[in-house]
Amino acid sequence: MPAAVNACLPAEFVSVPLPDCDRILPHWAKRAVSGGLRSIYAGIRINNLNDPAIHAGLSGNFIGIMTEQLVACEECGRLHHYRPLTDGQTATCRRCGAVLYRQRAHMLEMMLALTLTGLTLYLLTNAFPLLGLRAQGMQQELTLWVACVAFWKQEYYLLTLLMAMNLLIMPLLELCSMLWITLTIHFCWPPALALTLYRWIRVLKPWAMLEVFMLGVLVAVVKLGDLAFLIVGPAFWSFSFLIVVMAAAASVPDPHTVWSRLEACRRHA
Amino acid sequence: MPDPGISAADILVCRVCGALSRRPLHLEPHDHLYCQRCGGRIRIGRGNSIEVTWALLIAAAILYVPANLLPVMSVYMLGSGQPDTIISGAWHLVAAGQWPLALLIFVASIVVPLLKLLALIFLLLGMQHGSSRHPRERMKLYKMTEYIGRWSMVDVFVVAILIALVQFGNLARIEANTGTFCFASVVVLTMLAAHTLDEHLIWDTAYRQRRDRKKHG
Repeated sequence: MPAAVNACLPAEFVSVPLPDCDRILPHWAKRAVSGGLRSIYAGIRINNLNDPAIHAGLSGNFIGIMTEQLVACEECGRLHHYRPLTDGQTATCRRCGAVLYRQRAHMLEMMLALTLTGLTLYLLTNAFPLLGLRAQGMQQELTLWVACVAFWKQEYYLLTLLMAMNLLIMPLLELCSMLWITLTIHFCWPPALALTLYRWIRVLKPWAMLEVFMLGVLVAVVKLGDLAFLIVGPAFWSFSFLIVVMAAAASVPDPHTVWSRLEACRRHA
Repeated sequence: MPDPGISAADILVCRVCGALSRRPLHLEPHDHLYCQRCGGRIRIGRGNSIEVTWALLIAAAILYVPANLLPVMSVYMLGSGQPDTIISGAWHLVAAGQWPLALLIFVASIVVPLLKLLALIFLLLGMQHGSSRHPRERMKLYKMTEYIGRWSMVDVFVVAILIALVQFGNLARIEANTGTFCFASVVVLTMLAAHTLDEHLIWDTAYRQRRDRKKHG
């Protein structure tokens, strides 16, 4: 009900460019950005909390969700009025400048494409060796799995668990969850599982460390390069692409949009 | 009809999904609130985030000492081996002429954890004293600490890759040592500390002080 949302906005709604763009981007890039990615401040500090439109979401419930009218900044907690955007626009916090929410065209299609690509690359990466080492007629191969259990043989069991979580479990969980969330939103399935999964991957995001492992692989390659004959395995390349795809898959979905669309699925179901 | 007594303090924000809820009228000291949308636990007020963060930081600071003094791995070549700490490992790299790599190891394993500890202590002290200076910059510092922390794991991963690859019996063999475990613990503890630190407190105190100044001045 966008009409009701607009009605509760104060008349003097400001629409100015995103300050972050001004400061971070060079001039040539700023010009390119100002065309497609125009950003606005999302709102005005709420002075009148007795506005009936706000209370529509509050009534009756012990804990009522009012996200349709208000948006809290993720970083500093300041409340803003929600205002619908057009494709390509970004709403930012008035106090700290963080992104509140954005409207992205074809978000679901991009998520689907990226998660399917990611899952394929994940399977390839785990099926083939990353590196091989040859010395004096003997050969050792390194796969992701071997790297994880390396500490197990040295009896550091907690480290093995940590590495398995960082390299195997979390990336797979992230990809599968994103796929399930995309399908849930598209087909409007009951969202209980998708909500739980999205919460988990939002909280556990920092523990997926594929890109850090890649840096480790590069360091090891340089370290061993002088001592022995190194073979770069096929998984090395799929792993590089997997990192790029996972980074893209993490940045494409807008959290606010995903949460509110999952919530809409619950109301629909 | 909505009741007239609602203010911004009555609105609770779920830190995970951003859903807004209304603070219940009666709240016992040990009540837990859960978000209706995502099911995550909702933080009420200050909570004990500062105390828990301090505890994690102190544990990390204690483990930082053995992480740097104990050997992280031992290289055995033709039967004879020598254990290496992080610093001596970096020193070997410098001696071998690979100083960019040595610099990377030095920064990721020694400078970053130390800076991370100091930055989190600085932020905590600022929150406890209700500092209102430069909240934007302190927020940036927090975001940076949160982002950079995971890159320290690179040292643990390098050890894992080396011990997995270099297993040629008596010819050449690499083993992990206790230092790696301590080092990984430092990284994990500081990551947890960055997670438990409630970054909204940076803004709460800043905002409160400005409001007080306006009221008095």
